[in-house]
Amino acid sequence: MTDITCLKEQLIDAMTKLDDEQAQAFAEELISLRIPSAELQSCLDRGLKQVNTLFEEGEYFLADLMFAGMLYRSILDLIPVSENSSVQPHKCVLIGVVERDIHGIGKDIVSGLLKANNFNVVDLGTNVSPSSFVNAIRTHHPQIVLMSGMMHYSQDSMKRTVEAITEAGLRDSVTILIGGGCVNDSILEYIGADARVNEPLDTIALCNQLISRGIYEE
Amino acid sequence: MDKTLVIGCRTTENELLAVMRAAGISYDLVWIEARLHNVKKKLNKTLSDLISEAENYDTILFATGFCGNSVLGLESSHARLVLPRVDDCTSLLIGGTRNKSSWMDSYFLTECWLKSKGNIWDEYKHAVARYGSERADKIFQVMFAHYKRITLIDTGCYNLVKTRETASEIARAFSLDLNVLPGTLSYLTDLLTGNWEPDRFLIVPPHSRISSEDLSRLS
Repeated sequence: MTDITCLKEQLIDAMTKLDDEQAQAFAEELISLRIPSAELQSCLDRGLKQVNTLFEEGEYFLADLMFAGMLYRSILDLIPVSENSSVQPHKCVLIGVVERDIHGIGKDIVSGLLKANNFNVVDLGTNVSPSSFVNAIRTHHPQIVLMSGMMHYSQDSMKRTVEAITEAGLRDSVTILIGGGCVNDSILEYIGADARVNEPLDTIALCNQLISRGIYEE
Repeated sequence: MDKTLVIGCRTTENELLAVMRAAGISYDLVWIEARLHNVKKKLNKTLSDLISEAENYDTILFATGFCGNSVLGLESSHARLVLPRVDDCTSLLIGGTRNKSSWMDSYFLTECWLKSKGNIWDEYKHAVARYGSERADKIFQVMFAHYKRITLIDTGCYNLVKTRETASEIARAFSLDLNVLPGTLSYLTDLLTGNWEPDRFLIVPPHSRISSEDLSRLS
């Protein structure tokens, strides 16, 4: 009998080494053995965390981080649809880089991981005005709004966006998370957001926690 | 007599050394590597350690920007810290953060940026070597989706012709336009010569920690 534990470790190792062929082969074998999708994803999460550590240590480049994100999504796409449909109705995240900022790499990684985790993601792109966030909330009714920004002046863009959402009477209908190079814990109050997010996987975990609390009206 | 230490970033090495030569300044100088910018907590720790080790200095000049809030929480028990009110080194060379809003869709370069470890061209060549041209191009298409141009900052401190050739190659590889923008050394000059207007420089006395509020005002 195939050792599933061994296969999982091999998948994590291949993911860490960014060996896409091996990673996909191990993933396919695990899927054929009917591994629950959550377990498979847990392996990918561990691999991604190790890639991130190697990046922080200077062993990996930014392109390797991007590739890891792409590999993560491509492996989750291997899971048969019936296995991968643990979607709660209306599990929606609105994400965008705020006005006057175009640094979208972090946002793209998080957006991809959210989609891979069965979120309906409305990605507004970069340089998104406060009014665009407001209009998107009205159109798509997300539970969570994720604002990203790298530039220092993006803090003010985030603040103005939260103000616009509040003035539109929509503040209570969403949880607002902020992330990116311009944010830190001490500006949460200044911006008026609900929480700060840091690493992509922590962002996904928080979004899942928020949805599972069931505090949103359908 | 006031003893001064300069913390410089390798991305502005040409410009910082040029200003020091021109002004006849010979302060002690320590360098931080550009790649530290990829991990803010590492950059913060490195800066914090440098400050702690600089026991015999009265003033520490940061020839850097706030760099993704990496300077948040820094404190010295003995020296005042002086920092330009700019978000990063790019703004240092174009006269301030406010000047950057017109160049929002630019990826900025100088000679030193291209020489620093982990620069974007090294990144691309690494990706091609590791993943092959096709996949590397796909990765970089995503990374550069929001940029329209490579902007070379001409500070007069390096061989523009040679650097422009490399910048052109990068622009072609990523399907971006190429611009040259005149840079300025005024910010670095003012930093090193003590011309610290409050609107342009953050001055932190000993035993004071750099706060979010300190970083909220940019020039």
